[in-house]
Amino acid sequence: MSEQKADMFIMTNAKMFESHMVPTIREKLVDADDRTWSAVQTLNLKDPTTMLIVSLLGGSLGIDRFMLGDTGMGVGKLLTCGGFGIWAIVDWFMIQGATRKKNMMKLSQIPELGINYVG
Amino acid sequence: MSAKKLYLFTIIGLLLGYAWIGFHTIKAQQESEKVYPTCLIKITTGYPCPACGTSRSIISLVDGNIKQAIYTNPFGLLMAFLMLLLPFWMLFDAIRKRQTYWKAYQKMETFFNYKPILILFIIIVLANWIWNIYKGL
Repeated sequence: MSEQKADMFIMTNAKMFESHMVPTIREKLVDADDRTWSAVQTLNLKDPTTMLIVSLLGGSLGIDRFMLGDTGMGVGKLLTCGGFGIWAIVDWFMIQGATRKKNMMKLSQIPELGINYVG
Repeated sequence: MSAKKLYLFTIIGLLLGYAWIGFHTIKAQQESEKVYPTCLIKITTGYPCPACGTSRSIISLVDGNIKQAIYTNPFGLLMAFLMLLLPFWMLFDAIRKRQTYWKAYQKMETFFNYKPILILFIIIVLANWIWNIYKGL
């Protein structure tokens, strides 16, 4: 993939990933084949800021965790009033990191990129 | 979520849950049956959330009053069932050195990702929410 494309992806999506992973992502993108571009482009990445808003408003109902795909945790949060309200508050601070990790997991699921990420 | 994290999370949740229920059961015998609200929705808006009343439901169940438990919040029965089941399940896993609980959890997650199930679940939760507001928990 051309450096220009990789840079374009990084510029628009840097905030979606943990900052220490960004250089690795760029490197892998440059090394990758041009055909992976469409796969990378169509990834459904979640914006951490949006998730923070969702967590602030619907955290007690577990909506943030449902959106991230952590359905089990979502159900747990929902059935316990947001974990006695404590878990909901803790998640206001954790959800952005969790979102970035989930995004990284999604990116690592593209086999052509060859990113090893266990989260 | 990794298996280790899930087991740790469940153990902490169960301990908190048992402490919470135990505290309120003892308190209910001594003075009032009032349960302290911890729910953010209830505290901020004054309206109950779908899970409000779960503690009261379980406390009624401890007293042997199943009818009252269902009337307060049917989710209480589910929670009570989980609180009874999970410690034994995790103990079984620990003794047999297997991860059946974690595998079941993952199966449950994929089960909930199936659209009709998710929609049915949301409808049940919403219905329970409306009932909660109607009851004025």
